[in-house]
Amino acid sequence: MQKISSNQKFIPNFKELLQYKDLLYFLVLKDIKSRYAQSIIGVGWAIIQPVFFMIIFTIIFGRLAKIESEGLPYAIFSFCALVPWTFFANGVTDSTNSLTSNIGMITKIYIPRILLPLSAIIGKSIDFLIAFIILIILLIYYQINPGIKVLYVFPFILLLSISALSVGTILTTLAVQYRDIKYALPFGIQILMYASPIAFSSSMIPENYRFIYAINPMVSVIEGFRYSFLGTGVLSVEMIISSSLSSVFILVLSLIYFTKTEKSFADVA
Amino acid sequence: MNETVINTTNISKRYVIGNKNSKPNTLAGEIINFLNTPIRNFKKLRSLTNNKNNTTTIWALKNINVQIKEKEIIGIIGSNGSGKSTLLKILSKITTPTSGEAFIKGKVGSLLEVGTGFHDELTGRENIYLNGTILGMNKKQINNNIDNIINFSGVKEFIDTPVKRYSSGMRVRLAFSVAAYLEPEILIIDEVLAVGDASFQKKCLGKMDDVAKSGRTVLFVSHNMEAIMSLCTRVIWIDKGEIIRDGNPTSVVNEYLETTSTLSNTNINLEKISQRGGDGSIKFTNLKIMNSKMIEKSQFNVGEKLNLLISLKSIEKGLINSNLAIKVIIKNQNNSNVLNFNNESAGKQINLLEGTNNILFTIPKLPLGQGIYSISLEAWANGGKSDTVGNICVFETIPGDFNGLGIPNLDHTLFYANSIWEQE
Repeated sequence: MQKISSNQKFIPNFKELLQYKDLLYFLVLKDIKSRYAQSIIGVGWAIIQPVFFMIIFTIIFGRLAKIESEGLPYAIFSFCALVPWTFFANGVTDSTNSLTSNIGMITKIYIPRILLPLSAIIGKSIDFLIAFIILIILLIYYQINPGIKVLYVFPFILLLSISALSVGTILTTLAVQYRDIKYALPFGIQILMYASPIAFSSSMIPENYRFIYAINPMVSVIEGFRYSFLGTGVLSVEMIISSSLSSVFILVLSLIYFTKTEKSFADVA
Repeated sequence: MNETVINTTNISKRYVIGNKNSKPNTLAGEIINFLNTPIRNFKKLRSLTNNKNNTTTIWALKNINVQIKEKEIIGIIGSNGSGKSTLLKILSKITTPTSGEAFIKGKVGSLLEVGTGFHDELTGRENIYLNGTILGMNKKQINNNIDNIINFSGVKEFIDTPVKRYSSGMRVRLAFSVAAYLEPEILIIDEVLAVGDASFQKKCLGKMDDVAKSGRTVLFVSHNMEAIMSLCTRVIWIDKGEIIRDGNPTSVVNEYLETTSTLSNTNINLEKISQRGGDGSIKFTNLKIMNSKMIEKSQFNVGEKLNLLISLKSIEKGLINSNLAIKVIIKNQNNSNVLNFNNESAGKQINLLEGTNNILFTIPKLPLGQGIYSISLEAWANGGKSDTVGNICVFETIPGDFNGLGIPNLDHTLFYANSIWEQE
C-alpha cells in the first residue's frame, strides 16, 4: 500500500532507488554514449580538456609567473590536480543541467529524480579513468614512483565523488526553479578553479588558515591526489577533517533539500 | 467482492498561474521598477513553490473522492483543463496533491506520453531498454520481451540504428511497443491514444482492449467517447476540478455530451440567409431539427430517429400546384456528401401550395457514425432549381445502439447498417 499525500518528506527513499538500479545503469550508458556521439575524436575529448589546461598552466604559471611547484616538474604538478578537477567540474556541470534537460522524465512519468544528477556524475567516470591513464604515462615519463602511497588516493576519490554529487544536486534543484543557475554555472566553476590549488600549491596559504581554506573539499582532494602520486606534503589532518565535514554537510543538506523540493518539480519545471 | 485498489480522500491541487503586478505611472517609478526587476522576478519564481497571498492560484482539483476497485476499467472524461490529467499525475506520483491523500495498492504503470526519455543518439534497442526502465520495468523483464517488442514495433531492420535516423512514425511505433509490454497491476493512461495515424490509434485501442480483458485495473483519459463507452466499466466526468458524475458509461457519456454540445441552434430562420442559389421562385423560410418525440435537438445517437421540419414559401405564383422536389443533403466535416435524399426518389409526390408549405422529413434510423454533420437544402420545381441553402444546420452523432443490442464494437465506422446472418 502506497500513500500519496502532501506531507513533506526529508529522507530519500533508498529502498526505491534500489528498485530502479537498472534505470540508473541505462541513464549512465546514455550519458556516456550520447556525449561523444557523432564526434570525430570521440572520447579523445576526455584527454584534450585536462591536457590543454596543463599546457596553458605550465606556460603561464610555470614558465612566466614561475609559481613554485614543490620542486616537481610543473606539468605533472598541475596535471595531477587537473585529473580530479576535470571530473568535478564536468560532473557538477552535467548534473546541474540534468533535471532541466530531461523535463519529460520529470513531468510525464515518475522516477526517483535523484537518478538524473547521480547518473550524470557516474557517467563522467569514463573520462576520469582516461585522464588517469594519461597521469600514469606522465609519471612514467618523469620517472616518479609513488609506491604504496598510491592507495591513499581511494578515500580522496570518495571525497571527490561526494563533493561533486552534493554540489551538483543542490544546483540542479535550484536550476529547476531558477534558470539563472545554468548561466552562472560556467562562471562559478571558473572562479572555483582558481580558488582551488590547481595552478599553485596550498603551501602558499599560511599554515594557520589552511583548515579554513580546506572548507572547499576540492582543496583536500587535490592535495590528496598530489600526496598519493607525487609524495608532496601540504596535507594535514585538520585539512582532511575540515573538507570531510564540509562535504558531508553539503551532502546531507543537498539530499534533504532535493527530497523536500522534488514534489514540486513537475509543477515548476 | 473485489478489493479497493485506489482510494482518495479530499484530493485537491492548487497551481500558481501568475502574479498581480502593479504598474508604475511615473518615470521615477518606472526606473525603480526596472531596478527592482530581479527582485520581482525572484519573488515570482519563488512563488511557484512558496505561496504568498499576492499570487493568483487556481484549483485544478477540488476535494476528489474516488474509490476504485480491482479490475475496474475507469474512463475519465471532461473538457480541456478540467483537471483530468492532474488527477492522473497525482495518482502516478508525478506531482503531489496540495491537500488530501490517496492510497494505492499495487504496482502502478503510467503512460502519459509514449517514448519518454527517448534519446536520439541511442539505437532503437538501447532506447527500448532506457524507455522500459523509465516506465518501471527492470532489465530482466525487458530481456524476456525484447523480441516481442521489436516484432510488434515493425522496425526490426533498424533496431540497431540511432533513433535520430527514424521517421517520426517509426519512433512512435517503437515507443508504443515498449509501453505495450508494460505489465503493471494498475495502468494509468492519458490521451496518448490520440497521437499517431489511424492505424496506430487502432493498435493502441486494440492493446487497451487486451489490457482490459486481462483483468487489470485501468484508468484512462480520452476524448474518444466511442472508445470510452466500449472499453470502460465505469466513467468519471470531471469539470473544473470536481467530479460531476460517476457511474454507468452510457449515461455519464450521454449526459456529458449533451451538456457540452455547442451545437444548440435547432430552430433556424432561413429567410435572412443571403448566400443562396436558384432562381428565387421558392424560398426556404425555416428549418427545425428534432428527435422522435419532436423535441428540438442537435445531438443524436446512432440509430435514433431524426426529424426535419422544412418550411418554404412560393414566391412566383405561376409555380403553384406544380411538382416540388426537395433535396436534403448531409455533408461530413470534410464537406463530402455522405447522404442525399429527395422526395421523388423516395416515391412521394409533393405539390407546391400557396403561401407557406411545411414538410416533415424523417430518417427513421440514423446510419451515420460518430461525427459532426451539416445539412443543406435544395428546392426544385418544374425541373428548375428554385432555391438552395448550404450548410445551414449542424448536428452531431454520438455512439448509440443501432441494432438494439447495446453499444457495439470499438472501431470507428462511418456508417451503420442492418445485416442478416444465417448459418446454412
